[in-house]
Amino acid sequence: MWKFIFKRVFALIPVIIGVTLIVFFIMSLSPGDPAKMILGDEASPEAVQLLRQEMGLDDPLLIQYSRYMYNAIQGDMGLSYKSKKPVTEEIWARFPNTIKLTLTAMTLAVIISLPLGIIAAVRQNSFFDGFSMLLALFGVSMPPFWFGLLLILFFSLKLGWFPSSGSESLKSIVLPSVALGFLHMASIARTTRSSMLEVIRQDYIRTARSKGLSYSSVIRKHALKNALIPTITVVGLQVGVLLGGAVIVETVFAWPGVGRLMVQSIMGRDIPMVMGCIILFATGFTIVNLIVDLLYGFIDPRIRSMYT
Amino acid sequence: MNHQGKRLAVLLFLLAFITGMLTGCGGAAATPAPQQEAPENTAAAVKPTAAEAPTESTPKKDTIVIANADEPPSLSPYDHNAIYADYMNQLTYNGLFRLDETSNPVPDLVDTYENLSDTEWLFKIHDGVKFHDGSTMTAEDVKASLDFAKTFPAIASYTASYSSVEVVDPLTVKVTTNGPSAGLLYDLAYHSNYIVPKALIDSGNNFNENPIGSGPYKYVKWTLGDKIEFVKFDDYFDKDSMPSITNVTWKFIPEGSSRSIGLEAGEIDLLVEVDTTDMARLKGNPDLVVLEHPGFTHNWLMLNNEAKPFDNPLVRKAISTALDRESIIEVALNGLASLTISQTPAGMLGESEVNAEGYNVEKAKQYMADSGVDPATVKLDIICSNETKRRAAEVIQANLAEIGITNVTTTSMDLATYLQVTGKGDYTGAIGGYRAFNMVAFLQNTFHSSAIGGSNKTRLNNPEVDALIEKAAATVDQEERAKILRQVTELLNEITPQAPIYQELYIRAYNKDLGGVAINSAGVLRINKLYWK
Repeated sequence: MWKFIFKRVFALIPVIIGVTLIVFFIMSLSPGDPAKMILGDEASPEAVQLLRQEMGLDDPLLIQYSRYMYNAIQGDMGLSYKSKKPVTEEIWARFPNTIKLTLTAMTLAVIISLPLGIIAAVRQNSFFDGFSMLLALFGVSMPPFWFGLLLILFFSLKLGWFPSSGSESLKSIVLPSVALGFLHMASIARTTRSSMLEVIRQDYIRTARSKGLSYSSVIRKHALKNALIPTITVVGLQVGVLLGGAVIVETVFAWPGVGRLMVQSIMGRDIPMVMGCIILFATGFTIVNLIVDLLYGFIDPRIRSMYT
Repeated sequence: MNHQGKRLAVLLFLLAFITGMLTGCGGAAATPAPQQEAPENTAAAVKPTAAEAPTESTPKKDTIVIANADEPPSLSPYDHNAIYADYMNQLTYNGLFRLDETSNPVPDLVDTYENLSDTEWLFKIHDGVKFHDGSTMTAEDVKASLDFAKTFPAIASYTASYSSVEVVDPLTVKVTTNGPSAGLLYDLAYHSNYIVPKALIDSGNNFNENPIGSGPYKYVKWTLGDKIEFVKFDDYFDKDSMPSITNVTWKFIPEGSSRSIGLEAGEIDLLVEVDTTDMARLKGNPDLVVLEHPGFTHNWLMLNNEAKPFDNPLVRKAISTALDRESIIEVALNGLASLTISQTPAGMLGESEVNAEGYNVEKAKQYMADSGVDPATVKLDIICSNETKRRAAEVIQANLAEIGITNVTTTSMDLATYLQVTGKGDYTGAIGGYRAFNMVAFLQNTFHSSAIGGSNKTRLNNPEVDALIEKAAATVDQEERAKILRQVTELLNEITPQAPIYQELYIRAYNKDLGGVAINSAGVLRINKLYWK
């Protein structure tokens, strides 16, 4: 088991190198000059050139990249071109918000969608099944941008229950996490339903039933665990994506998360900031995937035996 | 049968759900309309809200929440050129001068001043001005700040007018300019020349993290990505401008609709940037006030004067007269901009519409014919760096087709790419704009040949224009300068380096209980003048 974890964590190194290499080169080769962005429109070409030299932007890309990685390994991710503040400081100021939003939204999505998917499968073709799947369809098809504004209009402006933006109070997280959770709820419910349907048609379920076990205990003890594997995969992937920032929801609700920071940094050609965010996301995604793999082991003993 | 019935029930339920949600929102948006039509009802409808207001607003009487879209890159006044960062700078710092309501420089930290010669100015600052760290401002601080400002490339065009600063006595400095300079007082009012304590400069203070100045508000806390908080500075030197509201919370809400809803819901008291799509709704809300004022940001269809056939003035004139500016403003900005046909901004010293021409298709066709260029051979690609510009470019495409220029394409680019490509002159057309506080700075940065590669994007290189701009910059006498500036404007209108379209409006929307909100063409916002009624 530990060997497995160690192997997976070790595999993070080539992932980080690969991702940073690609991002660094794409950012550096794409048009748009960071020095020009800092100095603004009025700066003379000479001033821009001077700053480029000062920032080391005139060195060959490989040298720039190696210099960046050499410092990054020692924990120095550089200064943001835009704010001149340390990249780590800027990211860490926002990362807790991203985690908060991700976890709340996913918890909300799982709490609602899991029972929804299970009941829909167990009562296939019932009113409930139709309703929950239509609701899920509604969730998947709605642009989060529009749904977010709808929530603000209704719950902030009309009812005045929740603030429309910011992150200072506990109340502030409700609307963004509902907007985000609703979107993910839909796909989790649909996945749970289809995998549950597949499982309850298996022979061993019929056997359990014929032994005289009650339907609910067959579902709870025999079907559920097996049906959960695809759901966990979906949840895991979505958490990974969310850690990378729910940019649209963050923008609508002015939620100070990392996603928005990264998009702004890409627009401003703030290469150190983009690199910092990318390293964080790649690490986050890999760790979430590792947790998902470990969870498989807890649920399915056959997978667990493969680790050892 | 039964199965079908269930399906129908589900469908009906869902329809009811969606309709319910949509009507809920429709109602919110539609509420102000009937109130507008029936004033008697408005009073009745507003009363209860007004009655509730005191209890609701009592706790916030000493706080104001302001919102705009972008977070400032820095709280230091020296290393940025962003208007939204200047809003914060105006809270914590003062300059020797500031711009008044008519955008003219008036003394701020300066008590009295004297023009010793064409190039020498004597400035005496107020006695006993306190910095937020408790120290008292002296001439040494002024000298150190202006010398320090000169080391920052981002603001170089605002520190170039003065060459040296000398301390005469503890409250007086002598500033020497690079030749006679008409722009010095404007430059001294710009955030790049705000005054900070010398001791902090010497100790290497990071003014982005520790913005210590002498301004009416002190910095309290910056929650990155969310808001910045300020509190009233009790020792503020200008007792007439002492802030009335104790706390200022400045929030950053990137999405325009979210900002407007925040204002309507009472979470925000003042918006300094309003989405044009929300204007009608906000104006219809009896609890809010909306102020608009033409700003100095001048926007054009830029044409690369070095690229064929745009090197031909008649082709540029044909394009400029072919533009139906009213339609462009309607489509791109929902009608919220002031139309302009002159090459220089209205409202500035030296503005003129002589030689400028508005929309006239017949005349445009005539110019095209006179130019000797076949319109079918003209290829124009318009670079657009945002959605507003793209919508404007689409109208321009239709306008130019009317005079036979049918080969007009649009290219979308992000701002960084746009700046690089247009700066290098690697383009034919683009929609762009420029904001300056005074005509001399506007002309120097937009049309002087020394700004080619920087912000002279049409790459106009005209010795006559250059000479006139330099002459205006060196003319300290205002009336004389105005005459020269008008001359440059009229010459530029004749040359038509680019096709002017509109001047942006500065818009403020705020709670009707807030008093003292003023607006000027330079976008200056004096928060210390605001008060709760």
